[in-house]
Amino acid sequence: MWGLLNGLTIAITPTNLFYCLIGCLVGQLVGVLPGIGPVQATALLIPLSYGLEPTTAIIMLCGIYYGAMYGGTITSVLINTPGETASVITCLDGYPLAQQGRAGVALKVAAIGSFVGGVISTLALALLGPSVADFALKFGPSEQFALMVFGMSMVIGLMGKSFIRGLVSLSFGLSLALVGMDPISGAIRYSFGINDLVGGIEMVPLCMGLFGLSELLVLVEDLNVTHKASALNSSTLKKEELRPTTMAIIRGSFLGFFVGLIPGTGSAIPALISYSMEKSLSKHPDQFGKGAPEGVAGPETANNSYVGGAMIPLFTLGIPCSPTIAILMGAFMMHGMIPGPTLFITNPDVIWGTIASMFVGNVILLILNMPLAAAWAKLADIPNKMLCPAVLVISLIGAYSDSNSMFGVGVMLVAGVIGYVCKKLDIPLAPIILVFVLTDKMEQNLLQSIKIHSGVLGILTSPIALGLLVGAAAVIAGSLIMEIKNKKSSLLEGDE
Amino acid sequence: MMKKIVLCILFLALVLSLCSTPSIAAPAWPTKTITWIVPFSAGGNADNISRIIAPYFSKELGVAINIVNQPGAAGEIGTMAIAEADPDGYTIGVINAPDIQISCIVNDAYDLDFFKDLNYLATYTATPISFYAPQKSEWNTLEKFVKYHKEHPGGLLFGEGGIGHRVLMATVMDYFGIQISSVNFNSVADVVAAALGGHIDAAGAGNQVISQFVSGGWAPIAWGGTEKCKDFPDAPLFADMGLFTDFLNVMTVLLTPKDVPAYVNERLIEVANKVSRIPEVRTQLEAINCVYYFTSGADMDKKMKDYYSQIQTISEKYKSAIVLNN
Repeated sequence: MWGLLNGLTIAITPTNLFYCLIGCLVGQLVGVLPGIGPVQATALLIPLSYGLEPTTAIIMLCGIYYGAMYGGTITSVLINTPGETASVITCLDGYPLAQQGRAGVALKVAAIGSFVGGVISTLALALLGPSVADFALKFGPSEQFALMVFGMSMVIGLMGKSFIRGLVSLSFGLSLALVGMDPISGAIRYSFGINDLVGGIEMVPLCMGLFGLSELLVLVEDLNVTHKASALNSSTLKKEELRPTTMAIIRGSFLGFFVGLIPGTGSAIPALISYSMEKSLSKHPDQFGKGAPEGVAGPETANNSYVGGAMIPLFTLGIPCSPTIAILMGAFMMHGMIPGPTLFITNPDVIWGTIASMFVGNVILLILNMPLAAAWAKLADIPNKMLCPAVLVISLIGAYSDSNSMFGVGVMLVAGVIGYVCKKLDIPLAPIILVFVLTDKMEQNLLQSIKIHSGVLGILTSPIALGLLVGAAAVIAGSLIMEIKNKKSSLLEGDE
Repeated sequence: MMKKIVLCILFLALVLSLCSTPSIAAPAWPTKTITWIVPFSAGGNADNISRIIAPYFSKELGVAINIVNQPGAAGEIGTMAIAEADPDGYTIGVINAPDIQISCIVNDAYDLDFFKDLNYLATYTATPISFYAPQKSEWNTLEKFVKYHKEHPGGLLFGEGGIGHRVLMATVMDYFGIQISSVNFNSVADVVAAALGGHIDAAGAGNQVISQFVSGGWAPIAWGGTEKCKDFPDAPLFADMGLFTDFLNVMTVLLTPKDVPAYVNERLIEVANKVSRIPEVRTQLEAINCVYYFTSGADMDKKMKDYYSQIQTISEKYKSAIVLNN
């Protein structure tokens, strides 16, 4: 704790404060442009930090990271276009809120959630620090495989009304993920002789097409509609929404932190688990997907507090848990510091300064975004005939700049048409992308576990893996029972 | 008669144009921004190295250099993009050896012709790979590691982070006549995490991650490169055993498409040599834990091609250990 206070005095020197602000602003600006997520933004701006003091440089880069994470939220809410996987979940309820003229609510809830999540996980990082690092290491391939299965079972919660349609979506995501090189052997699958498919389908253009472009096609059906600033157009929560949203934020904070400790998870998992958890705990699960503020609050909080958790394996073991953290690790090294257990001893000022700056960064983002939320929300009032072309251009540029190839643009266009067809057929889109993201990692971990245990059953010898798999089975069984019950009751209602 | 005159004029024009092209065009390059393709994601090792050296190139050449990441398929897609770019000298790039050789050898579907499609100009890094094991294990020296494998063929789980590591493993298997059973991980970071968590028994990984291994109670049991590990001088060098593993050192090599004019390559090599004499370049590369090693021009080209045949020999012998789907 003493270290944290010491860190605060470093983080709030005028220079560091200034660069933290710059980082947050730049990050947010970059995050709003689809196609450039936190990973790319942080990597591209590392050279800018060369001339700075190491602590200042790291603080600025962290600022870019949080800023970009929040920027992704803005586009998810306003134009249904997530820039990275963590924000896919945000679209589910954020965009419906925006359509109801409540974009301000979604953005504010996300800002507050991110702030609380950030602060709680920073505190946990400062208090628990190295003592929880061992927990992270317990997650080998078997445990990670089980965690991915658990994550997949959570996707069931997003399937919407029809189980069958949900399964269609899930299997589609699964098959898309299989395209390209097998993660272990390098065997090439389903590339149909197209060289660009050898590396697999890129997530960003797929995401932008399925969510953003397909929504655009829906909007184009009636160009003259303007989202009238309705009576509901306020940035405040309704009374009855206050409690569930607060609880979602608190639960999300702890959830995100603990998932962050586990290597190789990525921020989509905590967001996904949080969403499913909130939906199952809610008194009105039917409101999810139609604009439930807690459906935005929980996942947004979880993916922000994930950062604090993910810093622990980085600082204490030198193991980066997610792509962005890997880039931060690169930044540490470029400034002459090797992340690992000795870093706390050799460069305590940098570590504690960085931890404290996470506090400061979250405060800055909150201050920036509370007033800005209303301004951003006004964008949602732009008439479709002006909004659509602008969004199309931004999406095309985003799809191109993700991997600098026209192939990405093609992927986005095709995904857009598929997304539109799915919407017309009531097939939920979120499972496609989430399963797509989880499959790669899951397959790899499965193959590694089989090798380690010389067979599939060996996975069950790990208590953590067993627990997670049982949990997954329970979630699936529970949803099936609910599904059958609902079917029966709706049939009964139909009879009467 | 008329025909002959026309032919003569045409011939003269052709000769003149051929003669004049280099002398006129040579000084004219470069006049605009150069695109520098990195076939890996931003933040990876090749990307970090490029972002360190490109500014020095830009300063020497007097034009801006735009780094473009084209990741995918272990660098295969971006490398293809460099090979297929207009050979005007305005698209250059980097690739990691030995990955490119291995791709060309083991991936039958990969169209790149290693010998015909690219020019290999220079490298600033060559980071060796080493073997690590837990200090408290029964196989905490290379000798014991080999002995254990003789008694229990394939008895240990050997974690590795890529195809280059498997080639080294195959080289060791060949040398000692033992059978090692490997588990592949996506990146070196994943190997380290699995090692420290006790999910694997031994590992092959770059020299640069030694500090992480040591923090978890692991130590090198055999060391790559030509200098002994400072903190663990007992770990033998592969080189001292007569095991030549230089061809597996990770080099990030500057490339141009095959048909660029000779003056572009000459100028780039000249700049590369000049940049290699700037002390900060070395300091900055060592800060990101790369082992500094500069070579350029004909030496570079020869190294790449020699290594190709070495990798090919070992790959053919141990195809099933290297290419996992066989």
